[in-house]
Amino acid sequence: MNISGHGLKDHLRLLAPLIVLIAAVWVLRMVLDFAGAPHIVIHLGASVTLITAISLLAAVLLVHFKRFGGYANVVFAVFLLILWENFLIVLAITFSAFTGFQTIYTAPQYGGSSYPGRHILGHLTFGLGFGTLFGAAMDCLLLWVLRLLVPAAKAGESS
Amino acid sequence: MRERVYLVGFLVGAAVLLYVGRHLLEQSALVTWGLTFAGTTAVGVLGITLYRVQLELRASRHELARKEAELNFAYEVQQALFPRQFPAGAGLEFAGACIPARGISGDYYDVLEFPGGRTVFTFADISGKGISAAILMSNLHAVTRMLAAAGGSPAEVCSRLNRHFHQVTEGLRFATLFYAEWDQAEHCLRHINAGHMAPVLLASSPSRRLAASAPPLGIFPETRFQEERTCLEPGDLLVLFSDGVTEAANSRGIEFGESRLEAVVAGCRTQPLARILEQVVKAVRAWAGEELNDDMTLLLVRARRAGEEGV
Repeated sequence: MNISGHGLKDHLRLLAPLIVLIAAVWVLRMVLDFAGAPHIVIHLGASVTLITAISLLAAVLLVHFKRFGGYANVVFAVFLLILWENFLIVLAITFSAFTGFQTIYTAPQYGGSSYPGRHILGHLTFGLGFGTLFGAAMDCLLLWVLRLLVPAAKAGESS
Repeated sequence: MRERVYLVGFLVGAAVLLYVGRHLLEQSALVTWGLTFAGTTAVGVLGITLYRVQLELRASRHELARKEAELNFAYEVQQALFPRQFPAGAGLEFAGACIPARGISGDYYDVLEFPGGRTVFTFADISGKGISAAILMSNLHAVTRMLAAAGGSPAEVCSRLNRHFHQVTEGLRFATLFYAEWDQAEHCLRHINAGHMAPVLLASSPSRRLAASAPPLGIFPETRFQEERTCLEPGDLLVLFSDGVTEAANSRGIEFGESRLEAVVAGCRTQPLARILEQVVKAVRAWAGEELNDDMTLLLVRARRAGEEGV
């Protein structure tokens, strides 16, 4: 697969810091959970959804300012980040299902009331589909605004 | 083309996944994701807009600094066009000042001394202000010098200047001009006032004005200029000024006016010319404040008493 001259590896290299960031927040979330922190603190203080949304924003900026590509690259980058987010969530649910340890991901208010398999499937279908579609729409809007207001060459001149 | 296929493929795939799993997650997850993504996007758009504003501001600041530097340089060049030293040996003494309202000025004065005791002085005000007036001023300055050096009478010089100025500005701009030639032997001025504010002659007899006898330069392509002749007694003082002096208004909109100018000069007419100049500028500033609305230009010309040496 090659989008605007960039393959999967190029996209992963571009997004590597963001992938690490999402993973770091996920780890922090799990550690806080195991340490017994209240769910509201974990929910607000270490939100994987929030850090993914911020990463999507950062991904657009990277694609634009590094002149990495266009809308297709942005959509692919969104897909990869959303996939990574949902993979980590599925990992946590699977861990709880196999070990019996309850985590924030299996708490009833975060969808843990359903069967683990259904919950996992929900993230791999609805979570991935909604995240990709909505994230792509938002990021394409951002890229359009960026191209309109801050051409990459102009931004480069000012730095 | 391939990019579009990938793009459509991803979006269709995501839509299919969304449809398949539409009942698998709780609605609250949808709301959380939607709000979070939309919120960060809104923050992103705001951030990008602010960044753009910052870039524009920085560019404007650079542009402003560059223009200010250019204006300063233009001001220095223009100041060099004014006489640095006045002729001292022709029986006249001079003092002049030009205080521009916007860095550079459309006013000018010049004093030229030629062999045989012939001295010419000019005072002009170009219509308009700022850079365009300053460019026309430097053009008029150069052409006047050239024509005066060629030795024509004041009427001939003014006719040629008028034609030139009309040609250059295509009749869209004009310049008021006072042109005078001093005859040292006869102690008389041959002068033409082309639409300029009438200079004040403070003489031992009652003061009088050297009123305009022709329209300003540049309005009509052909204008007949009639020379006038005024003889000066030693100590007589001629005050040439631009409208920036007399039309300087105070906070109530009342102009400084010619009568106040005359009164200030009459009050110190025996003092050195530089001192008189200082007094006038001080009086105008006291009347209208430090902020000028128009260029303020003055030229003082005084006939020397017999035996007086040049400064």
